[in-house]
Amino acid sequence: MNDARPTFRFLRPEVLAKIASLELLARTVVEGFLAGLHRSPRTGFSMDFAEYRPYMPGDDLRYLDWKVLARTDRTYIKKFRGDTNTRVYVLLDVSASMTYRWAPQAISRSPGDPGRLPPAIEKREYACYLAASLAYLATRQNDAVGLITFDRGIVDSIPARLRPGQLHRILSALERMKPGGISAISEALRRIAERLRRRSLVVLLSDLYEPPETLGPALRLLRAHGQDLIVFQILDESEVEFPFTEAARFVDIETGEDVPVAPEALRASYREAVRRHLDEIEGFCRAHGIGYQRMFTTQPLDEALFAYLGRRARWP
Amino acid sequence: MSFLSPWFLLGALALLVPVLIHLRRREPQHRVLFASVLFLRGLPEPIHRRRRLRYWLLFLLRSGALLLLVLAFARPYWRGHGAEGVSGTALVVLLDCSFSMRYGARFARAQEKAEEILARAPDGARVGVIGFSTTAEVRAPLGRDREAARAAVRGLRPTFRATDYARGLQAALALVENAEEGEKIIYLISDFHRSERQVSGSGWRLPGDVRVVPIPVASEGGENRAIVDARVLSGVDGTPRRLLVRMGNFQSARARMRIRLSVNDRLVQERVIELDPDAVATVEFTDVPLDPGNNRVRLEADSDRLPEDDRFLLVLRRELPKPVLILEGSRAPSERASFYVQQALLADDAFGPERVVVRTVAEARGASHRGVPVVEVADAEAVVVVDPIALDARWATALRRFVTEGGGMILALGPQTEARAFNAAFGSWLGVRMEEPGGSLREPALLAEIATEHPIFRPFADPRRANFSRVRFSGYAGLVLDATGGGAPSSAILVLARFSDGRPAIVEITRGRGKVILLAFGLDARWSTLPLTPLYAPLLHQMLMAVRRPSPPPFFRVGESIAVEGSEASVIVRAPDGERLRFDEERAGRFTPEHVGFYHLRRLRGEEPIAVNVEAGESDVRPMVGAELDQFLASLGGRESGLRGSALNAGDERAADAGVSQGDLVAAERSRAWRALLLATILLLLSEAILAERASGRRRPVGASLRGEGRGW
Repeated sequence: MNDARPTFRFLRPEVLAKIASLELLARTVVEGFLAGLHRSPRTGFSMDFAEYRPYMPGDDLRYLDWKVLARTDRTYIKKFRGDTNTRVYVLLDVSASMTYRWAPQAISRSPGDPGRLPPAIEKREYACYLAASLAYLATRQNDAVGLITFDRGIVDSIPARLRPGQLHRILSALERMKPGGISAISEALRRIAERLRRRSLVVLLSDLYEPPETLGPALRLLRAHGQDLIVFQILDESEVEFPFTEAARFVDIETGEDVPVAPEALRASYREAVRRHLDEIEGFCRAHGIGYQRMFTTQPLDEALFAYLGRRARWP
Repeated sequence: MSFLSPWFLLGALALLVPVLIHLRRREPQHRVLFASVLFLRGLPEPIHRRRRLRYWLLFLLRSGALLLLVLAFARPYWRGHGAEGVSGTALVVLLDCSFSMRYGARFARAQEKAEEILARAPDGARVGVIGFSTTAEVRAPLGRDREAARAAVRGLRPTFRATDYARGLQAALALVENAEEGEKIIYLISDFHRSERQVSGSGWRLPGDVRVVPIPVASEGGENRAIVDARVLSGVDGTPRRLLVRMGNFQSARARMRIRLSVNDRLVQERVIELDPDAVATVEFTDVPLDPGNNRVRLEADSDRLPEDDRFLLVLRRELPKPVLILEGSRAPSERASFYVQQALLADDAFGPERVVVRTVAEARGASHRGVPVVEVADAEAVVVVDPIALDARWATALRRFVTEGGGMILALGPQTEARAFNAAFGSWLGVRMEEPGGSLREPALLAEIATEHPIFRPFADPRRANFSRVRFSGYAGLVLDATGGGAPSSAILVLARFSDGRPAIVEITRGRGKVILLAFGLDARWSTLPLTPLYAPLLHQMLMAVRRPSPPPFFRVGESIAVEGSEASVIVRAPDGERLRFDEERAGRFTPEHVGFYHLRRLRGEEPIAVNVEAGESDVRPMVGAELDQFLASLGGRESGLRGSALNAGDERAADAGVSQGDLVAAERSRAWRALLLATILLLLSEAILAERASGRRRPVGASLRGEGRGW
């Protein structure tokens, strides 16, 4: 897999973190992604996200791009700017738990032990990059894009618009974003569902630290309001692998609650509990037609963009 | 079970170290910020495995080895086993309550030691408690009631008395001599300070079955300065003239001492003296201004750690001068036999013409009808009767009463003295009869057999300064001492000097509270050349001072028996703290002060202070050490006692150091329990080493498991 993505090296989070401007970062990500997309042998289809969309039954064949059809053996319809009426909302979780990142230097490890993980950036930073890239991509597609940040309620909201400067507003909002407090995702999603009157493509960026039994109804509510939903569950790899070795008091970033833990004794149990949680969420999403993509902060952003585009393709 | 070295048991606390480490590691201190403890909180026992000890057997082996090692060092033994007669032990705590024990914390330490000894006494032992100084008091008789004995120890207080070890040891021996068969131990707890050398009594013997275990408690250096004594020198009229104060520097450094003299709380004089180490010096105060009557005099030096001996109290009396009444038989002034007496008295500054009253017997006889002489006699400092021609019964009665009530009389017989009249007036009362006739001798007589140790002759003891052989006697009155002594004890009549033919020349007779000096020769020049010699005036002064009404002592010492004039109903004695004292039960009219300060005798006619000071010999409180102490302890045993040479054998010393009984020591020596414990410790450690090696072998393949919980415990 690694040899299949050499061109995405600029999309690696640790590299992107060195770019100061979020707009430049988003442009780098998206343009690089699109450039690679055209050359990538693994992508079985292609589309012009500005003027093209996949052919659907009933489309006018005049707008069929025959060159693309000849080159890729795929049918794409030429679209004109302003023809889209798609609204994309990026829901970004800014709760305190999103500030977590794996800090390997703080833990003594020996080669080969379970604690060996690559350095990572904060989940919040990763989500921020992803949100910027998605906003940029949506703008390139002439979609109206909006941003809602939340923790236990709505923190900031930029309604979806298709107008000049919208991307800049979103990127500025992302840049001035500050970490929030305690998260209550289901509660926040309920409020968002009430606010989104029109059908939109809703992209949820969160670590989803909430029991499925409360999170599920909230996602169902969004779906019931007619929103097309794609969930990016953003995690640090250490949250799943639990590579810690020294006994310590693990302190919840959000609540301050601490639990004394002997990691070696509990690693298997912890992994099992996390795996069960992730599986439940993923299963729920699949069962309810919600796009789901688990993203680790060490993963390149292109996988997220692929997932987004896949979901976007369902829209006219 | 008991322990010889119980302090080593504190080492058992080391057992807590691994447990505490385990507990500390069980609760990790390292903190890790984590995104959410949602999944950690849900786990059943987040630190469950850390709570467990992985190698219980190793833990037990190591803990057991440590415990056994501690026990071995604590030297355990079982009472009642291994030492014969322990249960029948009679144990007496002999605690020094003398003044020196007030220094620093000596007495508190002594009480602690005593209580420790009582607490460690073997089961079934009978214990007793005695406090001693110059007296010994059994505070708890020999019995099995430990609590009563401990209460007795707690009830002891240091006194102001000196130390008499023999008295204490005798009391302790009296307590244990009737004890049952078994060991008899006397724990002598004292500071053993240097000036405690006196061992009263003799002939007592320490039985062979009694052990004395000395326990010194003086850990301080014992540096002290003190006013050790004072002496008042009075004139012939009884007025204090000079005050000599003895200062002691009982320390290794030179000391500068300031002494303040206060009279009736007024600072009147001050002296500064430099004293070499271990030196005693005298400071003199003269011309001390005294008020008429009793004066409370306080001498104070700079205070140190033993303040009670840095002050010294006295009561000095300045009485209104009383005249010396001279009675003579001569009628004409030119024939007066009292001429030389008058001149000798007037030669002293203390006597002016107003203090020398001369009456002839004839005048007195006439005056006596008016009652005047009786009053004069009663008010006189002393009466000198010179060659009485004839004294009627009234005069004789007045003089006898005067003497009996404390007055002094010099009765000089002369050529005109009538034997019959003398014998009638004084013969039977004095116990001395005058022979007929007195008269001239063919050969002059000399004085022989002079009692130079008597106060009258003490100034003349040096023959280079006083030669009585130059005094010639041409005549004297023959005196015959009555065999019955006038009904008084024979000791009440002392012949102070005899003529060369053996006849009494000077006789001192005590009657009642007064004294009479009876001279067989006159005080004029008719019968002797004495008035013509330089010896006359001083001898007369000495005789007057010997017979004059004695002044009360300026001070007393604690423990001294003080006579009180009057009954307990008429005199109230109050201690310095205001408490009313009872008279001694054994000796009527006396009381014994136990505190330092001014006591007060309250009578109807007024109040009289009495100064009481610390008993002498207690101010050098530096403890004896080494050979000095050994030598002293050996001498303590008495000339015939078993203490000599074996007062402190090695076992006793160790017992004294540890504060345990000889029985305990023997038991420990015989139990040998510590050796078995050491052997068991070694075996446990060997087992632990083998087991640890095997456990280490099992752990090795696991590798990282050493990093986490366990770590061998």
